[in-house]
Amino acid sequence: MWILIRKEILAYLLTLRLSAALIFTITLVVMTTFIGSLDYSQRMKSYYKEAKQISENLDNATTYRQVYPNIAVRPKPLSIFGRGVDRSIGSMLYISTSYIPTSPSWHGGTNDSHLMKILIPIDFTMVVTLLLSFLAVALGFDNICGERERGTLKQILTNGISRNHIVLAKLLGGILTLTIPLTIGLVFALLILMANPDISFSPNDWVRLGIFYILSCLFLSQIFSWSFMVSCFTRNSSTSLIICLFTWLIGSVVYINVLPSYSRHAVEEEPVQLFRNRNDDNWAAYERQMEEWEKKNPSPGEAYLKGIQHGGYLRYAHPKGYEWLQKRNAYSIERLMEFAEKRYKALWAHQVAFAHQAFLVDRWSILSPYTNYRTLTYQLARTTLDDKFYLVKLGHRYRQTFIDYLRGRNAFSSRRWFSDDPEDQEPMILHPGEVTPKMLTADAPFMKERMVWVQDQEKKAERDPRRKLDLSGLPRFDITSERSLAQSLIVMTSGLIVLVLTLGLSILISMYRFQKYDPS
Amino acid sequence: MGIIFLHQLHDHLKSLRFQVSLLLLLLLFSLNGLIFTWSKQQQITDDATIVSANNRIYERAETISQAVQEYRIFSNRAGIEFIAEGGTSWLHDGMWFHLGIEEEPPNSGRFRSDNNWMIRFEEADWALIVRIVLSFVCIALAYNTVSSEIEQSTLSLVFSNPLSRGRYLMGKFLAHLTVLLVSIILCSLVSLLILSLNRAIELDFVIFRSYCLFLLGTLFYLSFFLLLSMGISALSRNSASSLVILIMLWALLIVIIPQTSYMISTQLIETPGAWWETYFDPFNDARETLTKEGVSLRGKDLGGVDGYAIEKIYARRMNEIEKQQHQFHKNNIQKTIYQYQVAKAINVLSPGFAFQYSVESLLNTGEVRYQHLLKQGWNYLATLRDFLRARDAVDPDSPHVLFLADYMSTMELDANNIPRFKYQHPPLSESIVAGIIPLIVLILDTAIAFFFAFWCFNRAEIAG
Repeated sequence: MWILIRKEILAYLLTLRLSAALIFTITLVVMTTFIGSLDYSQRMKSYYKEAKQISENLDNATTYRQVYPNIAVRPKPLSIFGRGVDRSIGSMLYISTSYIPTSPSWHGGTNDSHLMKILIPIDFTMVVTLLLSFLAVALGFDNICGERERGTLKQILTNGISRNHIVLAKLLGGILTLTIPLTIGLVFALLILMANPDISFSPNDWVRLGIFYILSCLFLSQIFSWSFMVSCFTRNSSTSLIICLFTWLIGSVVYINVLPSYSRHAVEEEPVQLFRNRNDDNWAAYERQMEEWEKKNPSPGEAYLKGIQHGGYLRYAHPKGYEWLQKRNAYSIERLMEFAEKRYKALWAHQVAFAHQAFLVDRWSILSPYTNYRTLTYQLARTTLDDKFYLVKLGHRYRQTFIDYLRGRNAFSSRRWFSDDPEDQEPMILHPGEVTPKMLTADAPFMKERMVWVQDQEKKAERDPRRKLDLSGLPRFDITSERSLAQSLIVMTSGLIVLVLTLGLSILISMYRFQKYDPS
Repeated sequence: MGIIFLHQLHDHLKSLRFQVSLLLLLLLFSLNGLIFTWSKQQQITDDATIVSANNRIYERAETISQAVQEYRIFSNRAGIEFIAEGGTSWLHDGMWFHLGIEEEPPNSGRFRSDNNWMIRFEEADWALIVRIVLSFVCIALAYNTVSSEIEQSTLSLVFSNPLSRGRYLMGKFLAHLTVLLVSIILCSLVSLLILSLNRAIELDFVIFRSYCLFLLGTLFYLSFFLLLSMGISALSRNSASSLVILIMLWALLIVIIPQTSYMISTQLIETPGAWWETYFDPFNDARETLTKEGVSLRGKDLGGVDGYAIEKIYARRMNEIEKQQHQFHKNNIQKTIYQYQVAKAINVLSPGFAFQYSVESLLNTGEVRYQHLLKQGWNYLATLRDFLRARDAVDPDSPHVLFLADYMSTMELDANNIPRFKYQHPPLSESIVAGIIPLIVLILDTAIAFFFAFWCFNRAEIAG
């Protein structure tokens, strides 16, 4: 039997089809991974920029309201192999008391625009699903019927080898031949990726890469055994070719393009404007609540609140003014968190249809081996929408711990929420009760005198260590809590089962059919 | 030549590949009809809510001063998205802008819903079906035109008759083309029928014109692939290798090259990124210097003393900065458009996208439409400002500090008098200008394929 396999492989190696495919595959793999690697560096650059900004913001925060422990998600090196939704969804999770994300968002650092989103970027799986799978078709379609036409089938059968062995030998020969361009391509791709210092594979990534290789082999075997099966059912190779070619076209190109378009329009969605209206209403309700609160708890007056407003903090206001602001904040932050909750629910009510549409595509991808393989790769590379949602869920949990942390420190009702003044800070206006509104205008002599005082204070404040916000104990987001390998494999189960089952079935059917194949 | 033509026609009609192709095309075109019927229904409900929300904005303005607010405009669809969607369901379809100075510049955005969570896909429009499926069918029909006859040694028989090689090839080519054109016309009529029965479209002159332009593009595109297949078929002399080479070429041209353009273009062209982070800096700086010079807004009561002299100085300075920042903003948008155009230029290397872009532009969808929206948005901003300026000038009590809402007339304003925005479809001349380059590239591609096919066939050994 080994002789048979070797004969098959050698026969394939000599054909023009294989060498043509080999040249095409290797050139394209080199091109794709090279561009993919450059693109990855660009993504890493914007990731570093974003991560730096986040930590700088945290370091410079002097009040709690300036604290945004946002999460920048590091791009995964495996996304070069299976891009998934990485390009359509951003990589930032915004964490704040007044906002709950439904999905990761874009940040300013990406170098593209809505126009560019029309285009589809390439990845390694595309080369496999398109070129190598076609090679599998080209090697498989005339295996049995072609030999019958040339009359060589009879010769093989006279050798006294059992028919099952012949089928197995032919299948194994074809599959092993197919792994040659795959392996060479993958090795080239890895060499190019290793040359890029930005890309580092963790041990986990290596295991995933190994599984990716096995997955690709299985996929190619599946396509090859399918074409082989067709060749067992047909009498002449031109019929077999047409069947194989068109199933390839439909499975690999048409299905990928038509299925999303179908699901996008077949699942009805609510007009986005309804969400916007609802959100505006919620916001108006929040503003009304605050108005009512201020009616019940009137402000002590402008003179008490007068101070210096900078980006996120207030300085030198009167203690009585601070007291009122603290009470107001404690109320408003709770209302804002309610608003965030409502906004999230309203947005999700609108977006749930989108999630359905996207998941419909992932679920139905099982129907075609090509899309099934792609989805499996994305799941392995953790670039599916589901993985992003998993991340968002972790983000929600993290937001809760962040809020608990703030609550534990009484941040909402403390002066520290909006001001970095120490307790003994002298206010800008010592006796607000005696100040008239006219004295508060910018060009009044009183204010001019006070501004000179402020400038003096600002110099002092710069050196005051007490103004620095102590964020020790701030919970950090654990990025390693993303899906583990076992969890990824569980997600992949159904796809894997279909892959292995169809592969096994087509082999069994070919063997069964070949038993009765008339070689003449 | 006539006999060759008829013979080939007959061969096709009874061949399995043609029947399978026709079935597939019929299925896809019917699906196209269904998908765009649904999309039209979705779009009608979407548009109604957006238009009513945008109209409420006008009603909010009761005085001239209140009319200095944020407005939104919104583009209609071209109505021929089922032929070439061109990213209509992803591109920005509206703009918003504030009339006041010191506010955000006019910006485009997405008003209709779009599903960002799906991997970018293409809509199953006619252009997609032709670009991907029909080009493949071309190869499937023609990959063995010459090679099978060489293999069966019938070619030398054919040339024992007084027949030139050119005429032979022309006859075959025309037969292929006729079969394909007839089937695509048939199938597209099915799609049109589904769409019009569901009232998703009205069969009018625009549709007719678009249909003709689409067929024109299709004609060249199909010829390219037919001629290429016949050329390779003559060159390789072996049907199987001819097929492998053709399909690999097809995958390269139709799928691989277009998918690299995104990454190449983002590597080459830098876009402004988060422009809004620095947009307001000049305003803030100017405000600071003005305050040092003693120029700051004093409130309406205090300013009245000297006829708002200080506020006018302030507004003049801010208007200058706005002008300069608007230019800066326009340049930023131009850069993002330029990045996309570079990607498009790379895509045009593929005849598939030369076809796609010529149809898209000629039919007024895609980038042409977006650019036109931008132009109309900026014009509308000027119109609205002119309108308010004229209204404000009439009021003797107004401070006339333009586009600072607090220092403008408080005279009542009838919301119905505010000029409303009406989206104008880009004129045909503009679409032709945009579509001419990809169309020329497509015609050139076809011409090259033509000479390639004849060159290959003329030097082919006829004997098997």
